[in-house]
Amino acid sequence: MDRPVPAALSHLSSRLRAVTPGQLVRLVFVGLLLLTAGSSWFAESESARGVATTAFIMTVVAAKLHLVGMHFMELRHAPFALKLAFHGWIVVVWGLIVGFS
Amino acid sequence: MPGEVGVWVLVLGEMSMFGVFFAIFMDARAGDRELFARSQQHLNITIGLVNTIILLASSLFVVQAVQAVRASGFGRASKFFTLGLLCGLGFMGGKVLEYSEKLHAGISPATDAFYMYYYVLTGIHALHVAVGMCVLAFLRKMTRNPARHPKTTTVEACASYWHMVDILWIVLFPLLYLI
Repeated sequence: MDRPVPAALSHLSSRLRAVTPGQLVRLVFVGLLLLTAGSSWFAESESARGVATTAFIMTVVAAKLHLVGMHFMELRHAPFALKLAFHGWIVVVWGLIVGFS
Repeated sequence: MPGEVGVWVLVLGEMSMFGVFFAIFMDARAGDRELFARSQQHLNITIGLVNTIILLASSLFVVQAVQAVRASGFGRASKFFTLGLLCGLGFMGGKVLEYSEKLHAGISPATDAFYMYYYVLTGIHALHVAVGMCVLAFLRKMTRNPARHPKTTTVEACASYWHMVDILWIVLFPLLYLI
């Protein structure tokens, strides 16, 4: 059964749809800066370099790679196989770095 | 698909090659964690962080250049490629500063295993930045010439190479400086 979408959510969704490609890449850039600053601050504040710290930092890295791939490299318009290969690489790199930690 | 198939084969091939480098580095690190942690403390995180921001900004400029080319705004695209190129120069400047700082302090590739990997990995990446800068200079020249505007697919393909340079640094920065 369809549920009615709350007015605030519907408004947000229509605002997001109205974002131009130029505005979207600038938003993504700000997101990338925040993730970079946040993970660097976290790494510097953590004196212990355990697997959990590495896993957290690498998860932020994976999010950044996803954003660059989908929005800067425009993989969101690419065939599924290419998206899969790109994201497969991210998963493998995450697994290698966290696994060896 | 943005760009051409051939470029994506090159991009994924380069990414896979760096994936192997990351694995070799992590394997060596697992063999002597104490040495790697001690040597890492001498790295200048500020330069690494600034270089990350510079490359992210360059990627934004290159995306904006591609969008301008699609709208036939070749003059605007050329300006964005110039900004991207300046970011590349800024990154290389940071790298020269970092290397000279280290060499001045007597830290070379022969110092220990960590620094051998540090110089090799950042050196190979810097080589990719240099190639990417040549690509951006080519696009800047093409978009400035009204008689020979580049094809959109060519611009997209070249832009993908530049973003790959950014992607590799996004992994290298935490790998060498943070974790």
